Amino acid sequence: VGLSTEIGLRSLLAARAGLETVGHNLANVNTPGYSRQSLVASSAAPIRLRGLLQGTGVSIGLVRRTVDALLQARIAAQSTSVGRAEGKLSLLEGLQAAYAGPGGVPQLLQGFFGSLSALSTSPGEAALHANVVQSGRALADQVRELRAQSAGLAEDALDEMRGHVDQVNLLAQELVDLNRRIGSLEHGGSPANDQRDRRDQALVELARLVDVQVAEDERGAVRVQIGGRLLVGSDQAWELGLSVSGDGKSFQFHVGGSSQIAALAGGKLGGLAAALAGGLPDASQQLDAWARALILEVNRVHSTGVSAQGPFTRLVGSNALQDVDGDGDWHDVLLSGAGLPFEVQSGELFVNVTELASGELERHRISIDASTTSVGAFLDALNAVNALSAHVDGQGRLHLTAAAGFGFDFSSRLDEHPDEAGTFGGTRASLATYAAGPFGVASGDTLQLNGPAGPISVTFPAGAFAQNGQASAQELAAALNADAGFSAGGLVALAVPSSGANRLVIQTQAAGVAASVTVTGGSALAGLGWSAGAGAAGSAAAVDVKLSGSYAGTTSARLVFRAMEDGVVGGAASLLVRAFDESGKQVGEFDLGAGYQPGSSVEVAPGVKASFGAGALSAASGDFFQLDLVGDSDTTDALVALGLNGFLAGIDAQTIDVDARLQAAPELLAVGLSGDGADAANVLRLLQLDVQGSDELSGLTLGEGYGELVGIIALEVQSESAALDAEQFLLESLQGQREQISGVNQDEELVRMIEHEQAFAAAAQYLRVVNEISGELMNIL
Amino acid sequence: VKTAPHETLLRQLEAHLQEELGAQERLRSLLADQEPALAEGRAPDVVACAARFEAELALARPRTERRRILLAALERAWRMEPGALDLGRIVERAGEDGARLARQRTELRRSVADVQRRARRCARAAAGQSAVLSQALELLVGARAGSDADPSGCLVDREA
Repeated sequence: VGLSTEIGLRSLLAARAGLETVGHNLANVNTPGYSRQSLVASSAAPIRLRGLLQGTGVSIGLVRRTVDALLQARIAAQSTSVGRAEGKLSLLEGLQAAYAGPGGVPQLLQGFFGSLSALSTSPGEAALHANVVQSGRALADQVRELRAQSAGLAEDALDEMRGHVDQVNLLAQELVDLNRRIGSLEHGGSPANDQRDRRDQALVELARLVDVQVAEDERGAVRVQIGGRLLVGSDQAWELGLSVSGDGKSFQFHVGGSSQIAALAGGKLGGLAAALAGGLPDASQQLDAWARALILEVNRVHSTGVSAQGPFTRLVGSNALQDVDGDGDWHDVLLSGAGLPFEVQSGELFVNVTELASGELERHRISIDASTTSVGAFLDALNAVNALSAHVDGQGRLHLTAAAGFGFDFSSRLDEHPDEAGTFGGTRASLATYAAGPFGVASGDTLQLNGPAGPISVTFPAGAFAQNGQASAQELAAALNADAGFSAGGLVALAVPSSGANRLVIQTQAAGVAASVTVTGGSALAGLGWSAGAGAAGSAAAVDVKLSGSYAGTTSARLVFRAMEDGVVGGAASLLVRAFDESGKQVGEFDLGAGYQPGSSVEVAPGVKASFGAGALSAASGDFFQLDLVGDSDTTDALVALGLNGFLAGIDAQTIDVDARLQAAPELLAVGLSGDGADAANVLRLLQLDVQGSDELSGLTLGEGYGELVGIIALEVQSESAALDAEQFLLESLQGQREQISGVNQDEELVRMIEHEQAFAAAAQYLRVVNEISGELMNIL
Repeated sequence: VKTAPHETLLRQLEAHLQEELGAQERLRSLLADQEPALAEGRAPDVVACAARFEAELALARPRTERRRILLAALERAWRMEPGALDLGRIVERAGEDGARLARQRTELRRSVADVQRRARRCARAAAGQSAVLSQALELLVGARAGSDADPSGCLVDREA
């Protein structure tokens, strides 16, 4: 009976242990990381009783957890991949939200162009000037804000990384504690299933934060390495640290206070680190580049425009030149190497000087060679311009000042009166050489003329020419004007520009039909290209060339218009005028004869129209005028680089702003090219930037350039998002596999219990029948 | 040679007892398999044993009936009251003809006693297992039906 009772008791104990295990499984059915446990029971050792080996029932072996170690390792590794994608994506999504959010740069850029469009219809309206300045400020503010947000995102990411580092250290400490408990329990022969589950879970959590290498030693303790450094040993954890540079732009991970850097590539920390080192700086650099292109393109146009206030009398650059060798001599500092924020290129800069009272325009062309032109040479060239002075102040800023009564600008506007000298059918008698100098005239040569006051003879004095036989028009004019008889004879000599050089023009001082001049002889005649008898007569009416429109060409050109026949404009049967380029090649021809209505317009160049009065032209007198057509009045970008008359200040997304001068006085907005308040030509040029590709943006417009920037971020977000989806799917698949192996199904556990109960009840029933049958049999034995 | 009727019945009884011995041996074997399955709570093995029991018990009933018929026939042959015979009296009455029956009776007593002992142990284990499981099921199913516990669960440290 005793043995029978003990066997029954053992059986009940085994059943109770099994039930506890089932209950434990059920209690942890929703616990992350829990692995299903099962009871391992075996037959108890038999005893010898009355010479027979007698079974003693059941003994409980151990409670085993159902786990696939390889699968667990794969889940940890996959968590690292998911964590990395999550970390990177969180930062990139923040970036995308900032760059592509509503009310951002694209809308403000359109707002800026919209304000320019409104101004183009009413260029004289002051409120619209202020509106353009305001919309420009809104755009610049947003760009700066965006750049600051990028920096803010980086700071947020660093804060997030610090938080993850703390989590890593907490998990590392927990792993050490679990190592100790597992070792202690298992050393004492007890299973440490729950502790192992928790440790597995902690390892997965750690792997989500950082890529880990895990190894279990013979005592059951795990050793964890991150970035090649030991983080968790069997009974000690080393602290992960994050050190950030003072400017917050670089950071490093260290383990255990070591100076050696831990390279973390995976997990959320790795993802954030990669985004901080790659995506975020890239976006900031691209935004800087875009803002730089915006500044350059807008200022290129604005700097070559003129406000309704007219030409400048004084202008100060906003960007400083640097005397790189510090010797105070600007002649040994290349303009392109003087530390200006924008590159100065080889090309031409046109400077217009206007006599404010008369409106007479004088245009000067300054050539710059980026490899040879020094700041000093550039200053010299500016100072050589009549009525303009230039100097660099102590801060390296360029000052330009016009002489009293004069103004200057850099626009490409047309000279509305290209024949100021009256060499093309003026009212004064005007005899021009047929070609530009130099001329084959030397000191001692003579020139005889018949002027309004009678015959005049001029002998060119010694020293009149720098090089005898190579006399320039200026030298000849100066020598003639210096001759007392020449001036007293009612004549004046001029050097008039023509195809890059000058022609000598002799005019009467008086105008009208009575005025005449004739060259009659002298040794200088041949050198000047005249023959005796060549002359000119004055006229009651001037041809008075007037230009209108704006040059539509992209490259600058200089044309010389020459009368090819003699006659009155609109009266002669034929009065051909031909245009020649600087090389002497004929590029156009029109007839001002009987078919032409004086005062009507003739297109003489793309976008440029000319009207001619009913004066007389003479091919024999060498009638001509020169027309400078300026496509881009600053192909050197010197104005932008020096910060002269810019709309935007700054050099990148961090510093961009509307120029302080314009913020204070919006009326200084360069709306036109002429200084006329009704001229909106420059606003139209600014508007062109909305649709015109920029070399700085590889041919894209400003809007497209920004769109591409956003597109790159969006592409990265999309790519990372797809990667995260794929990694997440794989992780979920692995977790699903783990659930199948290690998970607890509440219903299954209950069904299992019901099946057990029914099986035992059925067994009890059969055994009762066996007993009855056996009892009946025993009765007859 | 004409055999007396009771002699024929005794030979039939010997054959029956031999058959019963075989059946008891099979039951012992079955119980030997059943006992650890019950003790260790191996429900599938218990179910498999139950199927074998069912087959064995199906054979036991006609065997019992044949034994009753044989004993009734012997009682009529020996002009005895129904139910008066058991195997001990049959061996006594058979005299020298009952030597084999006597050996079979001893062997069968030992075998049936062993089967009964094993069956009692198994029955106790089965009833105990069944009762514990019934109780636990009642508790669990009842608790689950009215549970408002946090579905997220918590790690329960069974050592604690």
